[in-house]
Amino acid sequence: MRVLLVEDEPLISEFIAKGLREAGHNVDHAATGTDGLHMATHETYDALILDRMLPGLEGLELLRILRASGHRTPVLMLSSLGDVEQRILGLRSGADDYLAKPFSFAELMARLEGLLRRQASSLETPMHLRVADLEMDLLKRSVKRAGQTLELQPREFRLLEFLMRHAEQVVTRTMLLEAVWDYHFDPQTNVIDVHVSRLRQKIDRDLGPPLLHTIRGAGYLLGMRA
Amino acid sequence: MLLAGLRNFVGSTLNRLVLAYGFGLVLVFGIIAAVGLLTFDHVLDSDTRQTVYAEHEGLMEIYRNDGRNAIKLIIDERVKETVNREAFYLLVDKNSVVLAGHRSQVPISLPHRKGWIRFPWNAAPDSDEILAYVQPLENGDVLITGHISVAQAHLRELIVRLGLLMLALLVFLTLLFSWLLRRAVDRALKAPLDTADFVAAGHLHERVAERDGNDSFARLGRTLNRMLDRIHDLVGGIQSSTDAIAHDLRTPLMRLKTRLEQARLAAPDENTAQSVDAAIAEADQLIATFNSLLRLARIEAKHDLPNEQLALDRVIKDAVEMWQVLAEAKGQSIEADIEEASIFGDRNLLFQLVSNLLDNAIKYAPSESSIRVKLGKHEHDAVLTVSDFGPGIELEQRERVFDRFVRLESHRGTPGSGLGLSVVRAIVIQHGGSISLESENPGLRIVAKFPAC
Repeated sequence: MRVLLVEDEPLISEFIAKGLREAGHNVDHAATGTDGLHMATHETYDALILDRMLPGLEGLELLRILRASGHRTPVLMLSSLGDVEQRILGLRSGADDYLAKPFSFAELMARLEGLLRRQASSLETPMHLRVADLEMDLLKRSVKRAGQTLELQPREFRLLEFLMRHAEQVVTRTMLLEAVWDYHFDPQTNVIDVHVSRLRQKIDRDLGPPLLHTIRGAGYLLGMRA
Repeated sequence: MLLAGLRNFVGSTLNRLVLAYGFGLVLVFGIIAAVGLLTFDHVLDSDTRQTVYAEHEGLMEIYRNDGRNAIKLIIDERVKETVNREAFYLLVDKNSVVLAGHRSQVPISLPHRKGWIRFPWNAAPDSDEILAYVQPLENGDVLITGHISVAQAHLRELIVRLGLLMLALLVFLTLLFSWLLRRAVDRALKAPLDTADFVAAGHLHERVAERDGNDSFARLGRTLNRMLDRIHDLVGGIQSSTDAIAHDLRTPLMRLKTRLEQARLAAPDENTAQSVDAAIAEADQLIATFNSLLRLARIEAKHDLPNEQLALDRVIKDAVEMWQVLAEAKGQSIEADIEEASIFGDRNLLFQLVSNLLDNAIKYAPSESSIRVKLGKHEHDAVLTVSDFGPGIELEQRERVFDRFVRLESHRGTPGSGLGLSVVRAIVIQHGGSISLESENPGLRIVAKFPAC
């Protein structure tokens, strides 16, 4: 996968580029907004990671120009302006996701993968999800593990649905909060962990190898792990 | 009811002023009228007295020259006369037996020395008055010469009536003036008062429509507007400096975190990795506190009320559902009694508010206890109450817990940034509401009120 990173802070851009390359992606880097716009319009990328405060051309402005000229490349926006309004402003300007600094690389990676996945699956909305021997029927709203029906609360169902749609991919607590609960807020306490562990008890207990994993420093992953 | 209305009326400064003015006016008028009446009386009286005295002297002259029988005859003659009906004569002897005159008996007890007396003409209640001069004679007889002061009495009555009418008119005019003044002042103050209310409710952009002229009301409006401009600048200053601080601190924090993550990846052994993990956890805690502080500053700097109408009950139910699992993990239960209530608000901030309250309650209440969440309506407010059976907060500490970074001695050891309640209060104030802490005996009850819509 080919990613364009537009970020002026050398330490951060080097770290992100290195991490992405280690994960098997091709990374181009631009240190100014003008360079970034030039590269984004002249090359083809699968995704853009775009900082907001850039020399030359501001990130939001770059994004507006890009979107106005018809480019549909998914954009993950990075910013040191992190509150909800700035986030909404970023999303309205055409960003697909918005990440406030400081973030961890795992969070960035999870968001980026989420973006690409969303892009890929936006055309089809499957009514049936399957991860290993865990099955979800979205029409009947039923969940089975190894053929055995599981009783889930509505919120647990939505949580599991999100995890299954992002199977084999790290999802962060913030992503869960926003997607499953639809509130932007700072929980301060490990309340999400408690929800996840309750779900884990229902889907993993005595029903085969564990599927729902905690990824240290990042979040959760649903899938088969060796 | 009437008394309360009166107290209300008198309670207003403006009404008190107008009443005092009116009372003063009536008092001055009363004094002038009384003095005038007395003076008028006196002038008229002295006129009558001169007439009576001249008449009396004439009779005395006859008495001195011709004796008792002469005036007796004259008096008899005059009583029979119909021309001068207003004159009054009476001659009595020393045993108060009437010798001649208008009466067969003495109408009043007579003084022993000469002088003026007044008595009614007859027994009727509205009888005319007689003003008479009494003079005891040498042989013990008494001569009384008088005159009806009929015109005088009528005149006095007329004046008194006129005075009362004027007084009534004055009272009426005072009340009318009071009403007009009040209306004028209310009108002049309406614009600044409405603006002040609006601004107090969070609309900091509102300004008073300025009046022409240079009176106090026009100046009040202009001064208020200048003050609001200044507040607006200050708030704007806080906001932009918050933004600058946010940006200036986020970048180095990002670098710190990046370096730690790099170090974590390059860690040569498990021990180093653990130390770096601990450092990352510390950095994350620092970032979390920084974010809370920034969020708090942003909420406090927001000066316009949210204008999105939302169902507060929905937000609270969502929050309760989210935190219920944490309470259950601690063996606690959350009892929710949620009525429907709509307010103007920001759903994310309100969710944060309820979350902080529930987080606190779960943190400090003992296990196996219940936490109560209630949403009801009281007058024009939506009232959210969160009560727990934890240790509570002592009265003198209650205001302090809203301050930044204040953590009570008894709460040391429990995790927390000391910003939770500051954020709660900032959100309540941003929504034009109010918050108070009360004792649940034992435990703590937090009551947040929001203007309902």
